[in-house]
Amino acid sequence: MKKWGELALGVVTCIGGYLEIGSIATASQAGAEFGFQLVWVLALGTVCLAFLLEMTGRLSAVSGRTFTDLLRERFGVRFFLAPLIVVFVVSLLVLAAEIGGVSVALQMATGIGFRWWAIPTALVAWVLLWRGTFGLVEQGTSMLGLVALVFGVGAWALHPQWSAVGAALVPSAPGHDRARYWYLAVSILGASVSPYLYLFYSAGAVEDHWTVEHLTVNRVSAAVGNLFGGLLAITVIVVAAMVFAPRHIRVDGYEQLALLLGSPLGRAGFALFLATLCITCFGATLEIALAIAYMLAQGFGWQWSENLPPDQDARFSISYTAVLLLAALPITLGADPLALTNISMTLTAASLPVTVVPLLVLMNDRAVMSRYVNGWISNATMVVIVGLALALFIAALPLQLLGGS
Amino acid sequence: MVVGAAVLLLASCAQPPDLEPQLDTVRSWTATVRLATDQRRARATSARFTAQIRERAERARGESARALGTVAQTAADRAQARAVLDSLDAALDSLGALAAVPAKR
Repeated sequence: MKKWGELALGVVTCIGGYLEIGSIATASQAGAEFGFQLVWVLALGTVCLAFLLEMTGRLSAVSGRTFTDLLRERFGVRFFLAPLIVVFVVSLLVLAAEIGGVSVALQMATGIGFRWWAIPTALVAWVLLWRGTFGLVEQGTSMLGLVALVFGVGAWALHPQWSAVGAALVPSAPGHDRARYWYLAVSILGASVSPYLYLFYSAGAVEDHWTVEHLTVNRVSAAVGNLFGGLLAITVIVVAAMVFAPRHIRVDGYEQLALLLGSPLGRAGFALFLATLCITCFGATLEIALAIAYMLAQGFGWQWSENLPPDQDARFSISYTAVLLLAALPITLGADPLALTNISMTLTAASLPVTVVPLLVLMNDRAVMSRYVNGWISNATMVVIVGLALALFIAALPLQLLGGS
Repeated sequence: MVVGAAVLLLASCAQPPDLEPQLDTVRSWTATVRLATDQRRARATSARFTAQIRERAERARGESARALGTVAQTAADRAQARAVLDSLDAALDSLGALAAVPAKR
C-alpha cells in the first residue's frame, strides 16, 4: 500500500513539476510559429527525460550515492570540474529565467514592474529552503503545479483536430523559416531535459533513502509521470497553435503569453495562466537552487541534506543562498526574461553531452550498478537523442543568429 | 557550449536587419493588440494587464519604426512600412479606447 502511495506521489510530482518557464515559452513559440509541427520534438524530449530520470534514479537506488558523488569518484576531481562548471553556468541561467517567470507573472497581476519582484521572489524561495524540508519542496510545489492542467482544459475547449496533433508526432520538414524551426527544436529539447532535473531527482532518491526495492516506483514514476507531463506540454503547443498561429502572432514578449488561455476559458483562463506561470516557475526556482547546492556540496564532499537544519550543513545552505541572490541580479538589472529563457534553453541542449556521456559510462559499469546496468535500448536512445541535440545546436544556432531561413 | 555562446555574441553584433522580418514583427504586434482588445472587451483580462500589453506594444512599435527607417530603402518599402505601422496605431487606438472600461465584478 505504501509503495502505491509512493508511486502515485512520484507520478503526480512528475506531472506537477513538468511545466516551467522554459517549456511554457518554447512550446508557445513553437505553436505560434509552426502550429503542431514541433510536437515531435517535445515527445522526443519527454522520452529523453524519462530515460534520464529512470537512469539517475536507478543509479542512486542501487549505489546509495548521487550521480554527482559518483561522477567525482569515478572520473576524478579534474574531470569533474568540466561538468561542474558547465552545469553550474547553465543552471544559473535557467534559475534566472525561472525567477524572471515568477516576476513577470507578478507584474501582470499587480502592474508593478518585474524587476522589483526578482529579489522578493528569491527571498521567499530562500526562506522556504532555509526552513522547509525536501518533502515540502518536492511535493508541495508539484501539487500546486497541477494548476498547469488548465492548459489541457484550454486545449480541449479549443477543439483542435487531435488527429493532426497525433500526426505531428512524426517529424516533418518546415515549409518556412527553416533556421527558426530548428532553433526552436533545440530550445524545446533544452527545456525538456535541463540537467537540474536529473541532478535533483538523483539527490532526491538519496534524500528519500531509495534502495533496489524502489526500482519499480522509479521506473513507473519516470515513465508515467513524464508521459503525462509531456502530454501537458504538448497542450501548450496546441493552445498556441489554435490561438496565436491563425492570427500570425509571434511570441516576442511574455505579456503575449497571458492571452493564450483568455480565448478558450475567459477570465478564469487568464487568472489561471498567471497562477500557472507563477507557481510552476517558483517550484522550478526551488528545485534549481537546491540542485546547484546539491551539486556543489556533493562535488566537494560537504555535508548536505535539505532535511538537516542549516547550521548542520552550513556550506550547502550558503550555496543555495548565494545562487538565489546571484540569479535574481540579471532580472533586477532589467534583463529580458524571454531572451534569457531562450538563450538558457539553447545552451542547456548544447551542454547535454557533458553530463549524459559520463552518466552512460556509470550506468554500464558493473562495479557500480552490478546486475542493474543499462540495457541496449537505454544506451541507444540516449546516444541518439543527445547526438541529435548537439547536431541541431551546431547546425541551427549560427543559421538562426545570422538571420537565415 | 562556450563556442555557441561566442557565436551568439558575434552573430548578434553582425546581424543586418531585413525589411520583411521587421514588417512581420509589426504585424504580429498588431494582431496581439487586436486579440488583447477582443479579450478585454469580453472582460477576459484585467484593465491593469491591458495597460501593460499596450505599453509593450508601443515599445515594440518604437523599436520597429526605428529599424524600418534604416531598412526601408525604396519608396515602395517606405509605403509598406507606413501602412503596417498605421495598422498597429489603429489597433492601439482601439485598445486605448477600452482602457476606461471597468473590470467585471
